[in-house]
Amino acid sequence: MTATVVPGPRTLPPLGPTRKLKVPKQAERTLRNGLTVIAVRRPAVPLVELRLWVPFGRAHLARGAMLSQTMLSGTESMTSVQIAAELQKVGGGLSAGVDPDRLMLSGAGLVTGLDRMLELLAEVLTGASYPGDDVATERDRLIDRIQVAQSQPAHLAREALLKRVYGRHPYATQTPEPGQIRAVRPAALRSLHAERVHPAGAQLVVVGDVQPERALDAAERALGDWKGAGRTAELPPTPPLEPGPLLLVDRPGSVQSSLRIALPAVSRTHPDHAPLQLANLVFGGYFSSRWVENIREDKGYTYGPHSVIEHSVAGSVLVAAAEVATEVTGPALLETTYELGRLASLPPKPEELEQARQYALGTLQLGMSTQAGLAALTSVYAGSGLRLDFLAEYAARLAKATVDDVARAAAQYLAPARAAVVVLGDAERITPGLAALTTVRTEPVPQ
Amino acid sequence: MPDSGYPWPIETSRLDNGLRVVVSEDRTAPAVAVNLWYDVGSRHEPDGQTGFAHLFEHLMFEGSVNVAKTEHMKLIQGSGGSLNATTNPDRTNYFETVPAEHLELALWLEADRMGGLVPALTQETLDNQRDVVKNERRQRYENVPYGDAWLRLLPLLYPPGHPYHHSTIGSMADLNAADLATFQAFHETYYAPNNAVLTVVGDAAAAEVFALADKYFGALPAREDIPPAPDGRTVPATARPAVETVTADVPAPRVYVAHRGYPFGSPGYDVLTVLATVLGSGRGSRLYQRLADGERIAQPDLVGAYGVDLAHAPAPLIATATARPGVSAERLAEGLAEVVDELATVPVTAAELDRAKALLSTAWWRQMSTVDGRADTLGRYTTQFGDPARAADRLPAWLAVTAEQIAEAAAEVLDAPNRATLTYVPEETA
Repeated sequence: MTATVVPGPRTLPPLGPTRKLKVPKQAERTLRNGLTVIAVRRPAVPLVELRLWVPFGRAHLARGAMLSQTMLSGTESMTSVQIAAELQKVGGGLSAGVDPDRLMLSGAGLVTGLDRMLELLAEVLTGASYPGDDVATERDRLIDRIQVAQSQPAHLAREALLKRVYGRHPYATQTPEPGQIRAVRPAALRSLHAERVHPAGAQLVVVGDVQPERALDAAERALGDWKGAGRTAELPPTPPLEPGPLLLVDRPGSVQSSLRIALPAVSRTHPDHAPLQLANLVFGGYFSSRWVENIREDKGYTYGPHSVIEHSVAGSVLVAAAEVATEVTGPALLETTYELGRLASLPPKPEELEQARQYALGTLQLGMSTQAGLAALTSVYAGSGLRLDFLAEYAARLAKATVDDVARAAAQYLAPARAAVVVLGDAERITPGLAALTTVRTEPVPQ
Repeated sequence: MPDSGYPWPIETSRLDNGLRVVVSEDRTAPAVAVNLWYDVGSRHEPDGQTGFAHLFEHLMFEGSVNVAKTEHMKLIQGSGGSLNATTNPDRTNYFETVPAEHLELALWLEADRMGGLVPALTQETLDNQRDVVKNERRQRYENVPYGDAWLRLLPLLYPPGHPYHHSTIGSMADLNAADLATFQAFHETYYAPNNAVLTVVGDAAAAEVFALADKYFGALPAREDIPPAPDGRTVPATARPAVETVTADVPAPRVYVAHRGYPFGSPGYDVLTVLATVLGSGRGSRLYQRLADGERIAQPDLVGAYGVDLAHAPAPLIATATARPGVSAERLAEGLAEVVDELATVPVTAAELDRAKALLSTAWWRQMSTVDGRADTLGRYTTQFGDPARAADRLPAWLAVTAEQIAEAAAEVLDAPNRATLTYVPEETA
């Protein structure tokens, strides 16, 4: 046998000194048409990332989804294949997506092709024609995708949770029905485009191996003539979370139950945000958290429980989610409530807080270490009126949050008494276990 | 644009025990990638032991002398870092990206499992991970429509006894027969410092990394007689097309057309890389324009062509398309074969060539844009070609490919007699 040499003592090697978060410099210009352009230099590789955020709150759900699906399908002078081929010429690509806050056009390509990519972006923004054939094809593809989603418990649980949390707010429904998609005609897309896809209030982020001033000039040349003074729509603030009976969505035959717990949260700039973020990590926000340790590692109820703070323009919410085996649905809720209550009632251990802090600072550093990561972050920040320099402030807040700060945030936001709970699963099998713990209101799965 | 595909510094060192250490410093962001390539893959597996290299990869996360089960993952993720490992026919790689101050921890963890895995390996761990791998086989290959295409293509392309004939995931029967002693021997045979390359890219100085590597890996003994994998460089031409039709629970007919090309790293592979891009990359490609947009027989999101970057034998080149509703498998197979055949007869235009090269440039730089992408690339070139600096040659080699070379390569390797065609047909054809 080969002698195995043990490389070191059991003690883990010490961490090196924490590196200071380096926030890259940005340049910014607001064009005369109202478009804000933000450029960040990140010279790692000769590529460039584009993110265009157009405010899209309260847009018609089905038409909005179809607009993003067909926006790149042709203009007065170009077919969808020509647009794609022209983008490929500069090694690039563009894609479009919507959520209840914004329409997002994302692109990436060789930095030498930046001017051309911006021209093509302008071509689509000012001339998308929504050709009938393409709209028909994309309609079928989108309907297929929605139907597949509707067969999946995680999607259904998400829909039920949104309705429960948001009530009458526009955030309450985020996926259109296939029937609504079927009714969308090209003319409706053209008028939605005319009404909502305009530069006022939009922001374009350019990140890559390019001098920021040069990027701003290029964007101004290409997009300075983008006009349109359509409508804007303000989203009302999200309603306060209302605790109440557990909502059980009956999906007979489910082999797992989808457990979803919504808790109140605050926006990124709120003084409680950093301590709440740390409290969330200690509870269930990463692998080494209490919740994961309890219901996955110790009890094996689930594969991957996770809790995360979701920020939207109109409000923030903390969502804890787990897919648990049907027969342990009650016990899983019990342990979850226990872990929430424990953190809301007793302060975390200093070493737990330190590990969560390391994780939070580490993910910040790694998240901004690539052009794509930096572009996404810059755009999301700009969408809520922030700039990258806020990162340094956020890192400082994470660094100085004390055990008391985190305990206070946990007591206020993670208290199980404030939760809205939704479970999707086989009611016949899981009702007795759940009803032993709390009041249950049962609804059938939609359709 | 840089002239080189790798415009960062590279420094190398070799410890006395043979471990090669590669460092590429980049202070742009406070992150480091740590990557280990072990020169062992499924091509090393003898008959009756298929799937062992991959199962072994799982065991490497289950604890070593100083690291408890799941602790490796907790320590890396607890730092905000990410980690994983992969096994393919050629090699096994392990990697993590962490904030720079965690570099030493990552090296300590890697050294602990290189040198101290065997004492921690138990029957219970083996049984547990055998079940995990069997579930992985079900989840990724058996329970997914078309999921077993790769498992079926390999034996069509490579004869029995060839190191690429069997798949990396292996057979259930072989996995069931695996005993603890075999795995202990596997580690002692292949997981030696002189069979590995350690690469560190990012916010760290070369001298610092060399010193830490020596501190944690330096005492591990080398192994002198590591058995090589069987030689697979020459694959006898079959001169007879290989055809397989599978009736399965799939939503639509799908066809794969596969050929043996050239090994990864050779000039021929570079030509085929550009060829595959012209053939199957995005909406500007021939397959999209002809089958999805033109004849409208293929689903637009599901046409494609790609090479599989294996370095130790002529590597596969695969083109695929999935039928639109109402289109038969035969009609689709005919259309796909026609577009592939035309690569030898209809010259690639300057515009097609430019687009392909621009796309490949973006793909290359995207791989280089992250410290982990760079670390894996340097580990590969050190392991397979003995020199990390050769990574810089790949992009210029792609950009130098001509239309004539593509036509020649197409005529030489895409010929119908040496073609493997795999067709999936839905169970209920109503």
